[in-house]
Amino acid sequence: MAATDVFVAIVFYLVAATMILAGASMVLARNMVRSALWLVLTLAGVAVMYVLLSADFLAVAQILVYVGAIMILMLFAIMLTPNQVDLPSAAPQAQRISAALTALAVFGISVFVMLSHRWNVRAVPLDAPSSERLGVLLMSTYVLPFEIASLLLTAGMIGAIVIAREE
Amino acid sequence: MLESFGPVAIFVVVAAIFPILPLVLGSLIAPKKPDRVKLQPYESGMETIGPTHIQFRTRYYLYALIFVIFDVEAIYLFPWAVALDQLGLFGLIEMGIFIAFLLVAFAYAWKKRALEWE
Repeated sequence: MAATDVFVAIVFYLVAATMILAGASMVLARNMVRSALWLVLTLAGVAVMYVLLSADFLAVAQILVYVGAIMILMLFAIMLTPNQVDLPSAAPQAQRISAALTALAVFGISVFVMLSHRWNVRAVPLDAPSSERLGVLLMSTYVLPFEIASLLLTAGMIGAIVIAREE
Repeated sequence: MLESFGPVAIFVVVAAIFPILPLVLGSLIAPKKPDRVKLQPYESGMETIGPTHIQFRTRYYLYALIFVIFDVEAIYLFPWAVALDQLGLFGLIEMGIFIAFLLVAFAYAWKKRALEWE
């Protein structure tokens, strides 16, 4: 069991370091397409984190939806942007300062919440595939949210068509 | 549970090494005699005129959006399919309602000719 823990720790720190590097590269990249591709790496790292947390279904959903679909959407959005692919090398001074302040505030709040909140920790780690249990719960206890999600998707799609049709 | 992701980990590592190794080997072994034609983006292709980052048609975005919607729908199908033998007829009807809603959106897209290429 100890060997598994060491292995999990190694993978965690490797992936965490990769995610931080990819995230920093994403922010620092001048080219928006490269920026988006760095974000792909960061989101893939989140999927590995889910695996380490025994959330197998969430990990696959993360790959399929975020790494797959959402990133395609983002790349398309970049390609649709005229002449804005390369960002200007210098933003106005006021904008830089306010951006730095906002980033610092978000970072501070995140760290505060992480440290101050009393997170529930399972005594025994969940060590079973979660898809089947999720399926049963979705169809029994959470059937209403499940059907509402379908309505939400429908509304999203119709909205997308209405907006995108007006060229 | 974690052990069952072992093959996935091996796959990811191999997938990372697989494209990098030939590139590294190629840059080490291959002789380098560049000239103007060889340095073109596509040898024996046409040279690009103007900037390559052009604005694409908004049409593509609509396809991407519809793809995302159905991708999210597909995500819901997996846990349902795994648990289907426990859920029985009730689960089948619930998923039927779920898909029926999305079929309305699909019919709307069809009706509005959103899926046709002009």
